[in-house]
Amino acid sequence: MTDGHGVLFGWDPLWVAAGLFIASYAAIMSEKLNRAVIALLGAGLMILTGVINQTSAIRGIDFNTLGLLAGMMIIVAVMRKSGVFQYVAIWSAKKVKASPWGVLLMLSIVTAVFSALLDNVTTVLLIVPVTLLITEELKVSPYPYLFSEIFAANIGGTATLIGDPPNIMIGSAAGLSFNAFLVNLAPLALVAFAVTFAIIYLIWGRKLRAADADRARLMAFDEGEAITDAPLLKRSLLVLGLVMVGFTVGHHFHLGPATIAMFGAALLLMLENVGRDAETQTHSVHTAFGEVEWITLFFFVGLFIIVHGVEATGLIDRSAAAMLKLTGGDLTVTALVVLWMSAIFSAMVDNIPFVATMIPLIKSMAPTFGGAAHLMPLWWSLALGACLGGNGSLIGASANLIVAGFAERAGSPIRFMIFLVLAFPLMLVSIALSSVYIYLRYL
Amino acid sequence: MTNRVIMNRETPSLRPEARIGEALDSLYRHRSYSLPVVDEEGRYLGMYGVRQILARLLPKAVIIEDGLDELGYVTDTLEQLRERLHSFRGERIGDALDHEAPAAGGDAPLLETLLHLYHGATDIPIVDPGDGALQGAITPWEILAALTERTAPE
Repeated sequence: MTDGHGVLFGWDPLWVAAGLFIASYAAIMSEKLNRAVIALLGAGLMILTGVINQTSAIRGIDFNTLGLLAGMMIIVAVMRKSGVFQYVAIWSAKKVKASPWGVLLMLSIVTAVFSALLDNVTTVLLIVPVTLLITEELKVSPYPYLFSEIFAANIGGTATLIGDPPNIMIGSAAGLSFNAFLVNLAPLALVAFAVTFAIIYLIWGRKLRAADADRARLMAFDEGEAITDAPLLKRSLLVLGLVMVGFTVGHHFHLGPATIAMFGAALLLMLENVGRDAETQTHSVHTAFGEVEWITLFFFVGLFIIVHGVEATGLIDRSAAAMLKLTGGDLTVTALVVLWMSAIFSAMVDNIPFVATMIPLIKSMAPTFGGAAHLMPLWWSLALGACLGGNGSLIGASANLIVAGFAERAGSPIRFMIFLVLAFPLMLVSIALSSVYIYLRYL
Repeated sequence: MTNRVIMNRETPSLRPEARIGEALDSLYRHRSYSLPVVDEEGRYLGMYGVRQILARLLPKAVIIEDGLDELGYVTDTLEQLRERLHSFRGERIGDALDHEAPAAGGDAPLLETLLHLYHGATDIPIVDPGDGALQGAITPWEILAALTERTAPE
C-alpha cells in the first residue's frame, strides 16, 4: 500500500518501486556514479513518482543507525589525533620481539579488537600505514600482513553491534542490544579468527623470516613517541570507555546506541575544546565534523528511503513469501539460506544495500515462525553472512578496498584474482563454521 | 619584465641515465635542491632533486597518500640512513623524475616565476615552448642577486 497521493501516470506503484529499486541497485553496483548520489536520486524518485510521500520517507530513515555511525566517526576523528593507534601497533609488535609471524598475529589481533570497537574502515586506515612501516623495517613482504588484516577487520567487526554497518542496521531494526551481539556473535568471531589464522600460519606464517638486524631496528622503535597528545589520549580513552559502558548497560535504561554515541561525541568535543578561544574551537570542531564520512551517511539515508518505498508497496512481503515457499517455511533451511546467500552476495556486492533489503524481508517472516522473538536465528545468520562474507573478495567490504589502495600506493598491489583464490575458500570456511554454530545454538 | 632578463643560462643539468649517487654529488656540488634533467638533444624532461632522494630514504608509509604523519618513534641512525642510500645509489634517476614541477618560458612574466618560488618551488627551469629545449633556470639566488644588483653565486 503506498501512502502517497497516487503514483505518476496511474502506474502500478509496485512496479514503479521495483523498477526504481532495481535501477538504483544496478547503478550502485556499476560504480559509474558515487553511491550516495545514486541512493539519494533513487530516494528522491520514490517520492517524486508518488510511491511514498515525504513524511513516510522520513519515517523510513533509521536515525539510530545514522546517529551511531556519526557519533563513532566523530569520537574516532578526535581520538586518532592522539597517536594511540600507532602506539598500540608498535607496542604489540615489540611484545613479540619483532618476530615476523608474531607481528602478523599481533597486528591482526589489534585490528580485530579495534574493528570490534570502531568501524572497520577507520581501523584499517590507521593500522595499515604502521603495518607498511613495520614490514619495510623487517624487509618482509607486506602482502600476508595486509591479507590478514582484511580478515581480522571483518571478523572483528562481526563480533559487536558497532563493529560493522550491517550489524548496526540489524541491531537497530530488530532492537538487539550491544550485549546481545557480544554474547551471540563474539564466540563465533573468536573461533573464526582462530581457525583463519591457523590456516594463514600454515600458508605464510611458518615461512616468514627476518634478519636479526632488521628485528633489532624495529625493537628500537620508541612507541612512547607515537603519542602526540597525551591529555587528548586520556580524555579520548575516558570517553570511549564511558561509551562502551553506555552500550553495555544502555539497553536497560532504554537508551539507544545513537544517543550514547552522539552524547559521547559531544562530551569528547567539549573536553577537547573547553578553555580554548572561540576561533580554535571552531577550527577544531570543524575538523572533527569534516572527518565524518558524509558519503556513507547520505548513502544510508537514500537506501532507507528506497527500501521503505519498496516495502510500502508490499513487494518485500511478496519476496518474503516467495523465499518461504522456497525453504518450505522451515526455520533451519531459511536460516542457512539467509546465511549462505548473505555471504555470497556480500563477497560480490556492497553488503549495506543487501542488508537494508533483507531486514524488512526477515521482519515480514515473523508471522510464519511464530512472532518476532523467533527470528533470532535469521538475524544472526544475516549478520554473520553479511559481515564474514565481506572477506570473500577484494570488493567484498569497504575495508578491503582501503587496504588494497594502500598496497597499490606502497608499490605492492593486491591483485583481485590472487586475493580471491585464497580469500573466497577461507571465507567459506568461516561460513561453514557459522552454519554449525547457528544450527547447534539456535535450531 | 620576463624571465629571460635574469635567468641563469649556464645552469647545470642531469641526464636521465645518471645514477642517484651521481645526482646527489652534483646537487651537493652546485648547492642545489633540484636540477633539470635533459635528453641528449638538450630537451627538458623533468626535475630531479633532494626531494626525490628523501622519498627513497624515508619509509614508504610516510610518503604515500593517507600515510603516517609522524615518525618520531623511528630511531634510525645516520649510519642506517647511509646504508639505505648505498642500497639504491646505483639506480638511474630517469625513473623518478618530477614531471609536475613548474617550468616557464623565457618570455613568460618574471612575477609568475616569483609566485612559483613563493609557493615552494626551489628551481624553475626555463624551457623553450617550441622545441622544449632547456634554456636556463631561475633560483632564489638569481632573484636575490637581481634585487640587490649583485652577481648570483656559482
